[in-house]
Parts: sequence; C-alpha cells; structure tokens
Amino acid sequence: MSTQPVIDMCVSARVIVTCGTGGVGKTSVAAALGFEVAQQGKRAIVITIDPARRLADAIGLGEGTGNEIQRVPLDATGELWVTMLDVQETFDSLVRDTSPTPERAKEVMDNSFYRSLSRSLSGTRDYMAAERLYDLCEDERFDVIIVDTPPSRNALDFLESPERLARFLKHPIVKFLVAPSRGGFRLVNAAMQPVFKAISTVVGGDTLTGTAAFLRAFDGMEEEFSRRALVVAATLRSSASSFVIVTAPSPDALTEANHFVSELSRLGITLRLIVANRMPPHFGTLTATEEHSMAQSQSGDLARVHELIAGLHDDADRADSDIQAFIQRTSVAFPAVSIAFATELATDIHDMDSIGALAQQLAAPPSQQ
Amino acid sequence: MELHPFFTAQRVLIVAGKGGVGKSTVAASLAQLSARSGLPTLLITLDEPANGLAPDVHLEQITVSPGRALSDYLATKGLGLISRQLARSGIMELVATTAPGLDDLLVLGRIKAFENERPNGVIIVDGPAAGHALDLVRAPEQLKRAIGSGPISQQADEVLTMLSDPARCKVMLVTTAAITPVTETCEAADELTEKAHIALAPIIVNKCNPDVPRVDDAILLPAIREAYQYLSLRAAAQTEAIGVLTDSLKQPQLHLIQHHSDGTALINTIADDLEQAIRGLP
Repeated sequence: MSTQPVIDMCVSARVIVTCGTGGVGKTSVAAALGFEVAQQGKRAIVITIDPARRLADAIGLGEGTGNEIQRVPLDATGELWVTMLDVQETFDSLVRDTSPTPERAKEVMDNSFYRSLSRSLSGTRDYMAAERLYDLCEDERFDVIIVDTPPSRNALDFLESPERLARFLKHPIVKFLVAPSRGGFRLVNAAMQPVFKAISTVVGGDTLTGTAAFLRAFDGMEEEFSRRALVVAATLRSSASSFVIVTAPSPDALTEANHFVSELSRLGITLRLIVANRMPPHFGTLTATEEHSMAQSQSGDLARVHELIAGLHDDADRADSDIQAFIQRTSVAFPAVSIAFATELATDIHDMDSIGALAQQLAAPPSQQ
Repeated sequence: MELHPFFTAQRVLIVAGKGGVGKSTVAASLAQLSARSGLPTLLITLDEPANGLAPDVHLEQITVSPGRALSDYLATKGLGLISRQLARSGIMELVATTAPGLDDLLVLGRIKAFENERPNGVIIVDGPAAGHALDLVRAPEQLKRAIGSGPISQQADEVLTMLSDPARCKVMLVTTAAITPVTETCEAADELTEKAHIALAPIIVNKCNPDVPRVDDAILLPAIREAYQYLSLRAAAQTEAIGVLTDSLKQPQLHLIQHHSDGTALINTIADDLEQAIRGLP
C-alpha cells in the first residue's frame, strides 16, 4: 500500500467524489482535498451539490453565487476553485446548448411544466449534478474535479439519474404525449383513456396539457441529453474517478458509512479512500503514581477536570476501536482501500487556514496520523 | 413545566434538523417520554421505521412512505385500480414529476388524517432531514399555485390550515452546539416562520459537552495540561454557539448532553434527559 495515499489520489485522479452523511465534515474534507491538489501544483475545482452553503461558509465565500466559479486565494503552485450547483441555471444552459433553434429553447423555458420541473428538488437536482460534472470534465481550466455529494442516504442517486431520465423519456406514454397533437387528448386511444383521466383527476387537466407541450418542445433534444449522461456515467465508472467515504466515529455516522459501502458495491464502483474525520485527539496521560497522589488531594473542581480528561481518553479509545472495526468490514469488499485520519478540532472549521490544517493531516503519511 | 402541557401544546410536532444532529433519536425519545407520561402517542417516521423504541401500551409507530403516498391517496379516492395501472406502466413517476411537491403534500395529508382520528393523542413526526423540511411544509402552497382546483388543491388547503395553526402543529428544530449547525438552524427557523408561517416549539440543542470548571493551569500536572486546554477551547466554542442561538431565536432551548450508547439504551437515556429539561422550563 502507498505511503501517501491521499497525495497519490490528488495527483492522479480526474474526478474525486466524496460521500458521507451530515455532520461528518464531508464538505470540509472535499475542500481540503482541493487544497492538497493545489499544493501539488495542479488545478482543482470543488463543486458542492449541497443546497446549504456550507462549503461557502467554510472558505469565506458569500451567498447567492449560483453556478459562478470562484478562485480561492492560496499560496500554492496550483489553483483551487469552488462552485455550487444551481439547478435552474444548469438546466437552462443545457436547454440552450441542445436546442436546435433559439426559438425552441425559449418555448421550452417558457413552459410551466419546465419551470416546476427545474424547481422540484428530487430527480432534477441529481440529473443536473451529472450534467454539471460533464461540463466541468470538458473544461480545460481544471485538472481535478472534486464532487461533494449532498449529505443524504440517496447521495449516489445522481450516478443513476441519467439512465433514469433516459428510461423516462423513452416510456410509451411519454412518446405518446410527444406525438403531434391531434386535437388535444380527445383522440387518446381507449386503453390510455382511464390513465389520462386518473392523472387529470389528481393534478388537473391544465397541468397535463402543459406537460405534453413541454415534452413536444423537448422532442429531439433528449438524444444529446442521453449522450452526455452516458459520457458522465462512463467517466465515473472508469479508473479516472476516485470515490471517498468520509465518516466520523459515531454510531450513526458509521451506520451511514456502511450503507455507502454497500451502495458502491451494488453500483460496481471501487472505494479508494476512507477518511476517518473528527477523531477525538489522544493526549498525554498521568503515570500511576501521579494519579494516586492526585486522588489524595483534590478539590471538587480539580476532581471534575480529571474526570473529564479521563472521559477524553475513553472517547479516543472507543473511537479508535469503532473505526478499526469499520475499516476491517470495508476491507472485505474493497481490499485495496486506503485510510486517512483527521482529529476533531476544539472549534468548528470556519476558514481556509483550518481547511489547510485539515489537508495537512489527511496528506500526512499513515504512520504519523 | 409539566410533561402533559408540554406535549399537548400542539397535536402534531414535526421534529426537523440537519444530518448528524441526532434528529431521529430525539424524535423517538420524545415519543417514548410522551407515552411514558401516559399520553396516547403516535410516532410517524418517513421511509423507514424507528429503531430501538421500547414497547409501551401508549406508544404506536407508523411509517409513511413518500414514494407510496400517491398510490395510497388514489386508493382512498376509490381509484385503486387506476393506481395499480399507473404503477405497472411506470408513469407514477411522470405524475409525481408533473406536480413537484405532490408526494410531500400527500405525506402531510396522511399526517392530517391521523390528527383527525386522534383528537386527544400526541403525534410526533420524525421529519425529513436538512433543508427538505422546508420543502415539505412549503409544498402545499406551491402546489396550490400550480394546480388551481380539484381534490389536490382542496387537500392543500386543509393541510395549510393545520400547519399554520400553532395549537395543531409546531416544528421542533434540533441542532448541535457548534456554530455551523446553529447558523443553519437560525436560517431554517426564519424561513419556517416567515415563509411557511409555522410556529416553532422549543429548540433542542443535542450532543452538548459537559461544562468544564475553570482551574489554574499551573495546578495541573504538565502531562494533562494539553487535554485541559482542549476541553476549555471546546467548551468556549460551545458557549459561543449557544450564545448565537439565544440571541437569534426567542424559543426556549432544551440542552441534552452527549451520550455514547445507541439503540434502546440511548432513546431511554435521552428521554430521561428530556424529562429533566422540560421540567426545568418555566
């Protein structure tokens, strides 16, 4: 196994995907990996799909920047850039890029169904994340793209979203809606009739008409959509991409980390690195003699301080054994996986200096972690 | 404050908070405590059932799945056959996409139905994670704009009436005592009250570290000074985060200490801590 797994990954990967549940410091780790790429003389961009502005908070960027790409001032030979995912903006530019004429693009974008589609968070966000990744992969300004997935169980859904959309667009009923209108839905064939009636009952007839109009305007554009989606899917499954699970030593974080391990196995993707973040630090201990003499002569406050410090030791030991158990389980599915550790700081990560300190911890040789 | 007035201050309590703050455990502990105090209690989870609840005659739990909410709704409207056809043809997804937020509205509709069935019960909802809570409670209003009339629009009206009535429904935000989650909690609180017009219950500050007494470094043996400094720094950061929360939100706070157990033991311990914290409220 390599003596510097994080540095090796930072200089060799084209795409790095971090996943993990909320509260484990996933966004900070993504930023720290970007920092390390820049230290290694390469150009990194970190994209966070998380609608909360946590990456922005951590590196001191303002709010409401949308898809804008911003450079983080660093003293490094390489570069660090950051951006967020604006679903609406990404969808709009995708429509403009793939539309045969500007008029058709406008028709799609003015459609009420399109507007509600791009506002709805679920599937569309996943799909646009994949689309944005396609764009960034084509962008020659960046050597390494780091994708910070949302802190949810379904974070890896975006890997499958392109296929889902393609399936959806090929569905017979969608094809039917796309077919040239012959007097609205009056000529809907007998088999379809009750289905349309049901949909109309639930969402109202106008909504369905709007949907049909959208799908018609959209007709033909889905081929380019699908092509891009397949390129992204292929990149993510190739050796150019590295997947990282970020976890912390708490029972709930480890449960979620196990879930990501099985998701990656199911998707046939290799896990490259586990980041055990927020590990409680180890501190010096008293000798048995010192402890004995302390126990003799302690006021209430001092006794409490000793008790709390003993608690810190217990925390650190428990965390070590919980993480080791997780690593062992994970090594069964992914024998070549590397591990990097970072200790929990007394204060929140809130600026680029603390990101840099985190990067230094992650990049340190395993023996020094 | 006694437990009964605390739990009956509203009929539906939606517990929300971002990942990692222990939202689901807090929701389960609240339900456990409410049932333990003798109130008929229903814990509603989304997607997956709660783990580790101890059996209690007053406690029931049910899982509402957003993915199945639409077919359940159609079935109750006597459209079960159609619903199965839609599911089989795979276009349920199309219907849901056509009206974003439909799943969320139907989930809230189910919760409202439980509320109607149990006028004297306590309903605790282990809400969706992170920013999704806001999407959930804003879904009825957005759908109403998209769909002018019909059964869905009527459903949206009924749900909105429940959400905006503080005697029927409140949101309980859960955070940890660190600056990033506290900032996000304050933002969520503003949006919930201003945009969704939902009242807030007391805020839960979970996973607090114990207070650290101030002692002179010099009286500590050198080997443990570093550990003491770490404890002090951590305590100061926690005090600062709680200060920000107190300055920003007027809701009372319930502070819960960090525990290392899990499962039933953790739920019971947190229920005990909650009981003490609630009794400490004015």
